[in-house]
Amino acid sequence: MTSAVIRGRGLTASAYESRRPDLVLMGTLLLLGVLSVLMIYSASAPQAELGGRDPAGEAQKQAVIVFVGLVVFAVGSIIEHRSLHTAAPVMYGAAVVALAIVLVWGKEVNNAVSWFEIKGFQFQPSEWAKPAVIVMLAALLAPAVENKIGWRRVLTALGLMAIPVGLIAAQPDLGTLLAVVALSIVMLFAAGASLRQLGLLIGSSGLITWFAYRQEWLTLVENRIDAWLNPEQNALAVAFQPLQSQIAIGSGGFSGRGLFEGSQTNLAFIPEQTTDFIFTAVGEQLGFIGGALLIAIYAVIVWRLLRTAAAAEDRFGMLVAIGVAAMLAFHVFVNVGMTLGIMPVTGIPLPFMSAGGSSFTAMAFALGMTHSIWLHRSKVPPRVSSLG
Amino acid sequence: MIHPWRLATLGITFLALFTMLGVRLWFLQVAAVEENSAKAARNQVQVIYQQPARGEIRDINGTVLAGSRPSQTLLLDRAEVTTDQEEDLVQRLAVLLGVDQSAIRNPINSARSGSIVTLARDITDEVAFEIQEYQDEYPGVEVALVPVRIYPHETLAAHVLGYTGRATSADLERYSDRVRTDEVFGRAGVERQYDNVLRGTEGAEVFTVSADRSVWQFTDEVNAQPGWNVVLTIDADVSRNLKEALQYALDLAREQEEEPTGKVAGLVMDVTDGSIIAMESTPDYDPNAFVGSLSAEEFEIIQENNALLNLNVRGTFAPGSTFKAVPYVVAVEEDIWPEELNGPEDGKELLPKLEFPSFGEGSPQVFTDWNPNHGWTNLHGALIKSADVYFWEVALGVWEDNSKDESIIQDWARDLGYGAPTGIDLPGEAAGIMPDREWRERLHEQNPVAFPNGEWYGGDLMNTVIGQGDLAATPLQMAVSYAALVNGGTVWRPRVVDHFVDTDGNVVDRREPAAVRQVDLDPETTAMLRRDLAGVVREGTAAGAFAGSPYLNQFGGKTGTSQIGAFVDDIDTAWFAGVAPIANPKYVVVIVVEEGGGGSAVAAPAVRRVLEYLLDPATAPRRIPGTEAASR
Repeated sequence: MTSAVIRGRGLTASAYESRRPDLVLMGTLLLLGVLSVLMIYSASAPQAELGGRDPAGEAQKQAVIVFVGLVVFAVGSIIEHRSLHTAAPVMYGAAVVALAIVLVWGKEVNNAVSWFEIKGFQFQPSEWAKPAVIVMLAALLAPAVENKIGWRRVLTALGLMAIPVGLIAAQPDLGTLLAVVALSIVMLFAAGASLRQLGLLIGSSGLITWFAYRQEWLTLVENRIDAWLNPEQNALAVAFQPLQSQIAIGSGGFSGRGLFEGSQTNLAFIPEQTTDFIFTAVGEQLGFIGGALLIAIYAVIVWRLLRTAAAAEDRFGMLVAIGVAAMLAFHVFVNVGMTLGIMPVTGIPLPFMSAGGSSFTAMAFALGMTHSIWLHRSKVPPRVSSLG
Repeated sequence: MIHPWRLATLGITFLALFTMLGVRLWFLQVAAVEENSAKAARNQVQVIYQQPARGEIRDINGTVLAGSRPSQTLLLDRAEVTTDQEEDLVQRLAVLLGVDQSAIRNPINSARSGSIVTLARDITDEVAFEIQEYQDEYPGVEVALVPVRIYPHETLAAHVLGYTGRATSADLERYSDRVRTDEVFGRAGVERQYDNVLRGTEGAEVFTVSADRSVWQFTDEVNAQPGWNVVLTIDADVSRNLKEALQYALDLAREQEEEPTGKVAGLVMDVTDGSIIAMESTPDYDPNAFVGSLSAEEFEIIQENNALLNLNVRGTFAPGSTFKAVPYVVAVEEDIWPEELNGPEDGKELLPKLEFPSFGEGSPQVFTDWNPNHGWTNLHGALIKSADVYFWEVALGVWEDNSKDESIIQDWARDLGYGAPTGIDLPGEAAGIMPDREWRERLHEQNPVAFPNGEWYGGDLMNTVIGQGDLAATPLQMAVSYAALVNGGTVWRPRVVDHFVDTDGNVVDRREPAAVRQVDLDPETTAMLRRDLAGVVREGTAAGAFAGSPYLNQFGGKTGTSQIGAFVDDIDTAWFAGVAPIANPKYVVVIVVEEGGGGSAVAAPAVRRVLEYLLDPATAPRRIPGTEAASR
């Protein structure tokens, strides 16, 4: 088996030690972590002060999360990705169990059951489900052959995707659901699925999306009735949020209102300004320069991930890197697009920026996995034919 | 590994997505800002809230009892003016409107900064024209047509309708920033009970405006949803008649040289389904008074008179002899008879006095009947002539018969609706008191200082059966119990609302008649009671009041005269509970006149007027509540 040859070659100790870490990737991650703490401080301090709470409280919490996230990234980098390959079914199983448990014991926040609390720590299983699905699909698709993936394998991939997607739909969390579907399709594409297979996949995921919208539509109707019964809980805010966000970003102009400026004005009107709408704070305070730079940083990360995929020692590593790249790109596009008014409001966080531990650590672990793949890449870029 | 074209496709796709974000960001932050830099330094969203039209309240025939009319209203948007400008506006608007400066300043001071304040309602066209013509001189001031609650029939059914008022500081606290100071809340009665239904859902228009507040772009709109109309079981015509009857009762009391407190309550209920056809309470109030800004003094006067109190629901009175229908039924159903007697037909010479060691050891008490000459009396005569002694002996029968539960009469009374709220769809209903040993002991245990007596004696039971002592009931409870006694035992949950209608005239929901319970009553007992209630108006205590009535043979009823306290002579509260048609009952009418004298002289004639109105083909209610959709 060809893969055995590759595996054998990669096992030599000297080969690993000769690989230098990806300093650019590590640098961008560190930069995002620092920026996240700064922006959260700036977006939360004035209101915390008004409310008589510690103005630096949320930022301090985020600083701890960033530190833990960096440690998780380091751990992910150390774990040899082949152990991940072996552990894939376990990770996947644990993620599915956690998603099922949250539906039973989870806390309902904003009409969705996606959290549970263990001794004061909030944990959001759907964030960790994404890397788990990536690893599982990579393990499944690794032995496949370009343009010759059997229908059986594609359907298995579909099934493996459908279980967590179904559980996430039950929460309901439309953003995460779409993220999992999108990264799955990208991974199948990278694995070499034929265009006909992909066409079918996109068609069926379209159906799933339609069902999800129906779900959402049903809850909306219930909300309407609730709003009618309790007029004080009027749902108007849903319409204002993206609008206010665009105006706040627009008011930032080319160079921004300056860090820590502007939170008293528009930002105070934006709910969830430290979580899903953190990009609004960046846009308002750091202007086009800051916003574009932040988008560029994400582009750099995605570039490093695609580079890792190209250099990966085996197909499993390649697929993991592609999956993580797709997940990251999807999150950035949907989240930033939402604050800019070109995407609908779906609650998904901006990776490494939004306040919250589950998202940061899960993303850091995913990035760590690809970094490990980079560290263990083959010296000689593999030729496509050698895979035959 | 990965096919190069596949990698390239992914790379290009991701790059395209990020580029889209960058372009959009450029458009928002650079291109659009330049475009508008002359107009505005900063853009903002302004929200104009649309108050939904409050639903109407109508009677069963479609008569509007509470509606809305447009009022030319002067508003101030506090977000648009500085404090100095506000002070200047207060002075100039006071001159323009010809009012005291405080009339303008007070509403501003009680509103939060940045909110929209109602400065004056129903301003003249001249004032409106002046403001609109010289808009620049009145920054932030706006003339708008605002719907204002109107109660066309003023005090009629006021206690059922309730009233509306501006949000209080407690409301603002409760609903936080979702409520503005000019929003209207239901404060009492149906307005309060069905506030959510009547209020509708507020709408909003969202504008993007520039720094000088000129509208730059219309962004979004959420339409206001008007509230539903509420159709009552109340009949306005019957209500008007009842209201006159209450005044008539008060006049009668004064003619008798009584000194009534002025508190009179009356209601008409349908015994077949529990719907309230009329409910009036005196002193009353005009709910229109609360629409504008009510001065503190005006409110004080209304408060002091207890005019806001719906006595039918919230007032409790000793029911006196009207209560005797309960021990009457218990005697028959439980087979409890005075000494020497064995049934309803069995009678004897009643003594005027009854001596009984009633309230503890060594203190024999003499109970004296109000009428010393009842003569030979059986159960029928006891009810018709309202003989206390007969019912005292029934009470003693219960007290001395160890095989009977000591509180058997009270248990029956509770089943018939006494001692607990009836569950009517009006706020603040009183429970009344149905006293027994357990009740007395509980009070004593809770507060031994205020209630030193923790014992329950035979004398207490004797007081209870004639509707005296600690027993207290609301007029509504009386009506509910009489309805059950004459309709065969169905205890209705009374209701004032029949159905709800949306703005298109569709019936969207109904309040169906609901029974609280069915009391197990022998049809023969019901028939016997009806005959004896008819006897009361033909030959008994109410014969005088009903003499000469064209519908005499269709009426039945019971008088009640309850003493106020044991040591005050000749201060009595007058009751009458009337039923018609007595052979197949449809209506029960209850009227109470506090400290108005005798039930037969004061309350019974007033009830007669209402019963005659209900049976007269010319005036009888046109529609029977609950059977069909009224009006559109």
